[in-house]
Amino acid sequence: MAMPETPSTSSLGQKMLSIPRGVWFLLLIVLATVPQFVTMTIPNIPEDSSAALYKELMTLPEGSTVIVQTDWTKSTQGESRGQFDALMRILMRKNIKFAFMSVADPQAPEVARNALKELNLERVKNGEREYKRWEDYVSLGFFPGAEGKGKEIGESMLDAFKASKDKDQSNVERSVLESPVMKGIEKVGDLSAFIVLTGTKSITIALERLHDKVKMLGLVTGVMGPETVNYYTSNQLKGLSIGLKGVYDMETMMQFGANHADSSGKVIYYMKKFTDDIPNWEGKKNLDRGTRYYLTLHFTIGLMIIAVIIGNVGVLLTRKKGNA
Amino acid sequence: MLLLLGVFSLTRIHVLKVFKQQKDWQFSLCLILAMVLIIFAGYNSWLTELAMKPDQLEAIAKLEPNNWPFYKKFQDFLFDGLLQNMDAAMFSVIAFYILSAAYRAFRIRSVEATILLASALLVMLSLLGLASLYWNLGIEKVTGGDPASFWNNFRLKEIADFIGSSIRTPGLRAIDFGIGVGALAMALRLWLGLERAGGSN
Amino acid sequence: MFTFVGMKFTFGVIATFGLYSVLWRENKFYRFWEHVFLGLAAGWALVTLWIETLKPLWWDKMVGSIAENGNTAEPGFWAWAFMLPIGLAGYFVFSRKHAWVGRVPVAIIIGLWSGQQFDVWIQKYWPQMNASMVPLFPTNFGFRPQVPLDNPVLKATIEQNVYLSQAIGNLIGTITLLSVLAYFLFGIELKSKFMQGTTKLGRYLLMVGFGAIFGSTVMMRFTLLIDRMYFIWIEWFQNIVMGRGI
Repeated sequence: MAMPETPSTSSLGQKMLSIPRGVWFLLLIVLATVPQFVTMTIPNIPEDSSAALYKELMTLPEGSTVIVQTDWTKSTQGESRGQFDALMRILMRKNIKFAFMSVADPQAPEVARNALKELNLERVKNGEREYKRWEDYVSLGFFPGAEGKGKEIGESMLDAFKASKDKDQSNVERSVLESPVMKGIEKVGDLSAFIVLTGTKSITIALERLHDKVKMLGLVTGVMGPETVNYYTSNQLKGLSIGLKGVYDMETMMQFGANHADSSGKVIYYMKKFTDDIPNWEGKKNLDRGTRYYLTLHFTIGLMIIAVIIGNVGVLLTRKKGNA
Repeated sequence: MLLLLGVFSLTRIHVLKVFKQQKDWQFSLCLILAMVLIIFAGYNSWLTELAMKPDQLEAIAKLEPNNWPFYKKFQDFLFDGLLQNMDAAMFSVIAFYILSAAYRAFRIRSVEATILLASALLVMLSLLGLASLYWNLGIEKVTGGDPASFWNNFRLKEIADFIGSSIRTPGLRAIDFGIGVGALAMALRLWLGLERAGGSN
Repeated sequence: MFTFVGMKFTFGVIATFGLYSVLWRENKFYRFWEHVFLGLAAGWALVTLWIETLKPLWWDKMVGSIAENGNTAEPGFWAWAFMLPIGLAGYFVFSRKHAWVGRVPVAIIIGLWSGQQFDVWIQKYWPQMNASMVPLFPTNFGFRPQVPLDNPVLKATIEQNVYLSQAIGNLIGTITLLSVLAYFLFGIELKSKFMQGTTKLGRYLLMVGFGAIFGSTVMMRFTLLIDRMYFIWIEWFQNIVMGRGI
């Protein structure tokens, strides 16, 4: 006598558990690609830490000097490049001089220089002043010993950078301390801010040595976000942007301002932590990489959530079938 | 100087592999070739630009990339075209493995796993503006648009902020304190010469 | 597409696909690009180490410079020459007989690190310990109003109170901090049921932090992938192959 066939629907749980990983990979590629062809600004509530960062950047004195410790490469470009572009746009629009340095990766200085070149080209195309090397910004170099360098910076800027050289307008290598950017900067407290843009623990090393000597601001990747938030909540960092969400927060605040009424008198973003009216950058390029990638992130994270649900439901159904 | 230790070790292994013609020595040859090419390109570019006059450099900076001189194209091709893109690709491959691992291994097996999953889901949802929008629309229906209503405390951002400030941040801070005490203890042991690991007998 | 930029992008895409091919299975195409990547990374490290670090921070300090192009002459300092044997000592790890020499530069670095730790510890953790001391007793037994704080009087009134919701949040935070700290007490045996319960609670609350780390990591990794897809499909395929231009 022939055995009755097991109905195929009875192994739904098993089917759910045996989706080949190639299918998931293909779905991920499709969902990471297709939404990028759609341009859409998604309603957003900026994080408190991002709002604080925007406020601090927008209230930096014009013409002052900041140090930007840029420790990112193309490996974290998805988030770090968006943060770098937003940061540089604000600094350059406010005519703030900056000196950039790196401690974590030997590729970082070249990557930052290339990104700056592109931003400068954009400024020139939009009729804005070109930011000149030596006059408006200098490259301090790459320093592999982050702990030692941080301590040196905390003690004396003159000693920390007396050996650092950059090319002036005549292509002659001179000490960075002679440049208009670093003139008058003798101790780290003379800077208006020390900004760390990183995907590594270099922000922690800088904070340990400098947080009580100068205003520190951070822009970190998603991986570093949860542990760096500790420093923001304990006021060691005055502002913090985390990951792609942080980039999107910055871009939308550059577009709409914070506690700032638009032309019709409507305030788009109300901030819980402060009531200051922080303006936007009207008529300038504000929405870029963060806005482009944010919608796509919804789909990919949605796929992730669906994958977890399918996996767990599959196990549940299989167990129920087993018990039955 | 010590940063070159890794590079020295890598070079030594692959040069020996090529000379002894061990298995897959052809790949080692590719590695050495790539290393030599980018070293040459990097130093050539640096030295060429050092020797240039400012007006020459300014003229080159204004050129479109397609019209750059050969030395600049060569260095840019290797660094920006290959190295940087492969660096990004290597890191992004992990996204596929995260998805695959989440599907296969992220199970509600125990209380700890359930809490971890719930927390991860909440963080991921709170990162998504659209999720917040639709959640808050539901809350708005309950509050009727009243900003002082008690139910405003159940907006997605408020819940996420509450869990973040009350549980996540103190928890991670406590881990940090633990690591800090350990690092201090290790520093003290090194100072007092109590740390014998790696010492010669 | 056959311009320099087009070829650069095309080879970048081929290299990206080469590395992605490992998702299908280990293959020679992947191994080739993996080796090329390692070679390029190692080579670039050698380039930047001299240009960005050793030359300005050691060589120029050691040999000095002559007066030219408006710069004053800078004397060299011969003592910097001692950095070379100390640095080269690290390479003795490859020698079986003299491997002990390799420990000298490592010992110097570790000594410098440990010397900084006391100051670093205070700088890092003191503000966090301060921030952990939060009020636990409410002064107002209501929930904190979620209204815009544009009225200074309203803002002052709200901020001077500790609402019940804040006190509950602070209490949960303090319990979390203490129970997670208790979880890491591995050095002593915890016999009392209260301490065992506390460590168990700490373990559960720790999972919330790990979940947040996982969620943020997912965001970051997916963003990297989205960036790569943008490079392949929009910057290369749409702009270069389809000719819509950059």
